[in-house]
Amino acid sequence: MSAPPEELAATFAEDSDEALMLSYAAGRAAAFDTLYARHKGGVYRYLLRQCGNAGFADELFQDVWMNAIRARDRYVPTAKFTTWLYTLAHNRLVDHWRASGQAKFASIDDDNDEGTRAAVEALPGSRRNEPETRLNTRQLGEQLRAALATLPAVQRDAFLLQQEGGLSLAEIAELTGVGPETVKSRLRYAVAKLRGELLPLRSSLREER
Amino acid sequence: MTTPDIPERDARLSAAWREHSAEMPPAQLDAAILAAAHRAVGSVPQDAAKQAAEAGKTAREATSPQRWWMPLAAAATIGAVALGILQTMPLEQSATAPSVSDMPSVASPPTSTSRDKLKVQERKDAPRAMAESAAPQTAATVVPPAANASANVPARPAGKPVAPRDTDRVAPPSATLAAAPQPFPAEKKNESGESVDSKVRAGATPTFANAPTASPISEPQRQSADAMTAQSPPAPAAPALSRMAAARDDTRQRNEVAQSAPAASGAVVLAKKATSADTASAKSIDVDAWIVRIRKLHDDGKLPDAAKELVALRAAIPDADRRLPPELRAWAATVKP
Repeated sequence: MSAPPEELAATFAEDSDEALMLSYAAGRAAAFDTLYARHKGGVYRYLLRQCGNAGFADELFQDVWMNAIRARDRYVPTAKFTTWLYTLAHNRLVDHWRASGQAKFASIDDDNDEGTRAAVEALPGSRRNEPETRLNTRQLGEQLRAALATLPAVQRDAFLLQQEGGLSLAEIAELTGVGPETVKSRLRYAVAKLRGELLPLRSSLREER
Repeated sequence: MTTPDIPERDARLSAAWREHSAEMPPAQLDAAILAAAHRAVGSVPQDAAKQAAEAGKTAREATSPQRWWMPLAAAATIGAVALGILQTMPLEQSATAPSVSDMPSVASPPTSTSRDKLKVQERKDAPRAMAESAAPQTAATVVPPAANASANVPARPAGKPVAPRDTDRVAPPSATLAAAPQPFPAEKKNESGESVDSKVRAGATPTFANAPTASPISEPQRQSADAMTAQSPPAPAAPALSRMAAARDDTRQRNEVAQSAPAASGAVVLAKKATSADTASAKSIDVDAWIVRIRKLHDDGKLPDAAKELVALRAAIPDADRRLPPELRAWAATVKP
């Protein structure tokens, strides 16, 4: 039998995500406002980058938070709140892809497999061999988003969970249900690919710093 | 070109990503989610609570008595004025409506020639009738005092001749009821199928003004008409209405006589005589009917009503007790004024 949310919340730092979620589960609505303000951007961008459509992203975003609201009574802080929240987002995304006939998380996986690597390289939409296109893109943000869109879904997922959710390798592995090494590999490929896409802009990146 | 080891996390890439990736959910989505979150725990978001408070304040202002009592009062005032106008409307309408002309009833054989002759005669005699109209009105001042209340009837249009008011002549002491604006009763039809009520109401029209007075009515006929009125005493509870009915009957009688009379027979001259005869005999006729009514009330055992009538009769006629039949005098002596 788990302790009441108020008692559990006392074991966390007062302004931690977990304490706020427990406080919300205990009935303090203002705690949810803080939580939402903290994480709405990351979750929204994670969903937006993954589905590439603002309309779908809005719908999924609302579903994720509504699921979080409904699951507040069942929330047990066995892991970080962000892990729990992004798990909800990830699962909702998978459901969306399944419902729409896409299976982006089901196919390509790497683990240093050469065949997989070749498949990733040959993905349609990759503009690695289109320098003109790259050069024509002026905004670094647009370049980044375009490069991210060329990534396989699993690599993009790992990258976004790391960048937007601030999750560690272990948390991403737990969330996605794969081993940490697999996550590490996905991240490595994702970062390498993005850096390769952004190589011509590296100098501009340095200048901006 | 050297390819460094690919780290799982590139600091520069992360920084660039954070810098250039800043999309946020729409504000409507924020509001919807926050509202749902607050609803789930039974509270209201601060913005929503503020809006709800403002909306409630507006609603309270809209439904507060200060907002609606003035239109309500204005509507009530307009309604009261409209009701008053409607109450007074029948008299004015009948005074101006051509359809209430009594000409057909005066010219009993409905030949257009006799009717036209009568109209021409009346037009010729109109100025004289206006001048003579003062005499019957003076006669009306000798009727019982309370009957003068009928003078409170809305003023008639100036310049129009006023016929001697039968209602004034026959009005008993409680004629104030009859003088008040009454809703339209069901119109009575005389033998020729014409409306009698409209004739009574249309006392101010020039044609009607002359019509009753133009009828050469004889005293025996009038007495017979009054006797008819006396034979059917009205209910004690509504003496004024019954007296109105008696006046209508009187008018009807005279109209019937007029129908049997020649159409063009010096109507105005005869009317003048008849009017003076009416006024002279009005008091005695009225007193007789009154006494009959008192007697009937007394015989029916309605002594309080009979006493009221007696008191009213005393007020109207000084020698009322002497006019009473002997069998009523003993009882009348017990009735104090």
